[in-house]
Amino acid sequence: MTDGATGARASGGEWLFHAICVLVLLFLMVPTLLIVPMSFSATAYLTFPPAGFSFEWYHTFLTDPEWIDATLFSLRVAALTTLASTVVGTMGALALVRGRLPGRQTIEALLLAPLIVPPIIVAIGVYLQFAPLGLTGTLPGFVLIHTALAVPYVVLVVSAALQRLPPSLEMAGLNLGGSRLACFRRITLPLIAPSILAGAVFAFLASFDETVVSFFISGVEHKTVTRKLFEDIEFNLSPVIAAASTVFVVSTILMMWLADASKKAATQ
Amino acid sequence: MLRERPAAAAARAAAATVSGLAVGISEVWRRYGPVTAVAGVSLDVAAGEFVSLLGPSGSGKTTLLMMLAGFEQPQSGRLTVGERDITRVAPNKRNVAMVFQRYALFPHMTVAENIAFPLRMRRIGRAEREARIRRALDMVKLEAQAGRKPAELSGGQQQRVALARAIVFEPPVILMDEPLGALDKKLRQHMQIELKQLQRRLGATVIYVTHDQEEALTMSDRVAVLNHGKLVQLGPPRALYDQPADAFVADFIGEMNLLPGTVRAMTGELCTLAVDGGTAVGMAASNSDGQLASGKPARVAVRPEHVELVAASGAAQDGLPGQLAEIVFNGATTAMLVELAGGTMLRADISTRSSLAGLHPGSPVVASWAAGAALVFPGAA
Ligand SMILES: Nc1ncnc2c1ncn2[C@@H]1O[C@H](COP(=O)(O)OP(=O)(O)OP(=O)(O)O)[C@@H](O)[C@H]1O
Ligand SMILES: [Mg+2]
Repeated sequence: MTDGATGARASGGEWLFHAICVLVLLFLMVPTLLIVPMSFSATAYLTFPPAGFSFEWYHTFLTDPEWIDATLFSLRVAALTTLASTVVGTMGALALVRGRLPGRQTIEALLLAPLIVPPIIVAIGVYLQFAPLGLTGTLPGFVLIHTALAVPYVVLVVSAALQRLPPSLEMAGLNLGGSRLACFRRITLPLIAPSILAGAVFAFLASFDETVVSFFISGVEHKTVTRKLFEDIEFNLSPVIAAASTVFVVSTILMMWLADASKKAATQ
Repeated sequence: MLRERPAAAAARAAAATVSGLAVGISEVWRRYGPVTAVAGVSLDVAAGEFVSLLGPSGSGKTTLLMMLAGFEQPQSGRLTVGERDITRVAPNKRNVAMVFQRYALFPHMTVAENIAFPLRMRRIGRAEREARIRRALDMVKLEAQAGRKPAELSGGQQQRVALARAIVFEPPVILMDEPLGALDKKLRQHMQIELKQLQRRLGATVIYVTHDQEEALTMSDRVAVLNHGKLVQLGPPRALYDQPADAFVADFIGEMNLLPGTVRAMTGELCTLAVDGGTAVGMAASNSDGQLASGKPARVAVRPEHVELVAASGAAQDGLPGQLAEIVFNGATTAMLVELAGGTMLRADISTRSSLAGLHPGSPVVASWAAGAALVFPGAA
């Protein structure tokens, strides 16, 4: 009812604007949404529209050792990356926002570089560095580079939270006799915790979704699930790809919703 | 616990008097590039005393307070609390409480947890801690709100929590930076009284920053007036009002007429000046030594309540002739704004009961005052 009322008042320009927004959203989402029906297909290869209905491909995804290995490896990399980048990113944000760093802007620019430099460039650079060091196809190698890629997200989110926090709170803590560490633990940390959590979710997704660098440095034994997806698209093109993608899309949406909810709770 | 309180407060007050000096500021300087925020300020505060730092915006009040709290470093000079030199001591080791302008309450903690914070940091045991929190809450009348978060309190209540958090660890001195600045006028006046009563009851030493001269006059034992980083005058409110050290203080504290003119004659301390429309008299300001020679520029300062007005009669009258420009009713007094012959405005506050019948805007009047009621300061405006 109220929608109708506002709609009646909306000008033609507004209608056009809303229509364009809907079209853009559809354009962005349809490819992802098409995956879902394809994953329930009864055929042995990817088709659209899907023919028949079965859970077979979900069964394959959850039982095939290659898929399980790749998924578990990706999860392990993502978990360690989340841990490392959350700690490093939070400390970085503290130094950038609260510290009196010389050359702060340069450091900030360098930190955000991985977001700007094309992934393929990063991938080639990392491969050339890692290969002689024997880091390709290893857990530490993946965690190292994924941490570098994920830290900017944490720094951005946590910096924003710190900038919103009045410095007088930490000053009051010191004034009342708290050490710097006690003030951080009891005042700053609890107040920016929701943003740290949001940063952690972004870091996890940045690692888990990371494709280009993972494609380059995956080994025969240790490959990420993104690399496995690539390989299957090239050689098999079976609906198991769609099943795996659906699982990832749903978990991603769940995590984003969680991060959003925790940030909302913080701003209230 | 509650019955012991007055005795404990008295004992604390006595101890404070014995220990004498609470805060010593000597020759403190702080510059920021070309700006001198604090220029060689020296000020001793006795235990149990309420001293206000008063001055216009940018006069260095906050900077001075921040140096006492340890968040700013003086470039030279010495700061002491009691016998202890705190000039280079870290802020968390100073044991000096600060009440921030926007209270800086911890938003994720309840009122009781906020007040507990300084006690926890000092590792005070649970039983003692709870007792002290209860006493502090009782003192600021917030027992019922102990479990609430700061966001669920009114501005005045938040202010009281900040106060309770500052007094609960019994610091030797409490610093306040415009603590009532965020409150509306009515609540501010109420909190002024409450704060003053609390300070007396605790015998606490308070250094209070404000740019509101009325607030400084009503609350303080002594007021330190700052201008451009310098301490221009230090004294009890009445002394500042009656004997301002210079034209700045005269103008800043209370209402004051400042008429520019030229010295005509000096007879002892009595100074006669040529001002807009006639001749004015006043006593030479105490630190004007020798600068008030005949022909030199000067200003005569006279409070509106000391100006007498009479209707111009046409005959020769002593005083400054002018025209009544406006009559402003202020309750007990009525302000009469007189435009002197050359255009300068002069204000006279007349008791509303005696308010001169028959005078109305446009009436010709003559303004005068007793020589002893006016001060003459050397120099042009
Ligand atoms: N961190 C700083 N960097 C540079 N200049 C500063 C700094 N802090 C204060 N100043 C300058 O020092 C002077 C005194 O400032 P201060 O904040 O002490 O004034 P104030 O008396 O508290 O004024 P207000 O009534 O506006 O709060 C001002 O000219 C101000 O611009
Ligand atoms: Mg200030």
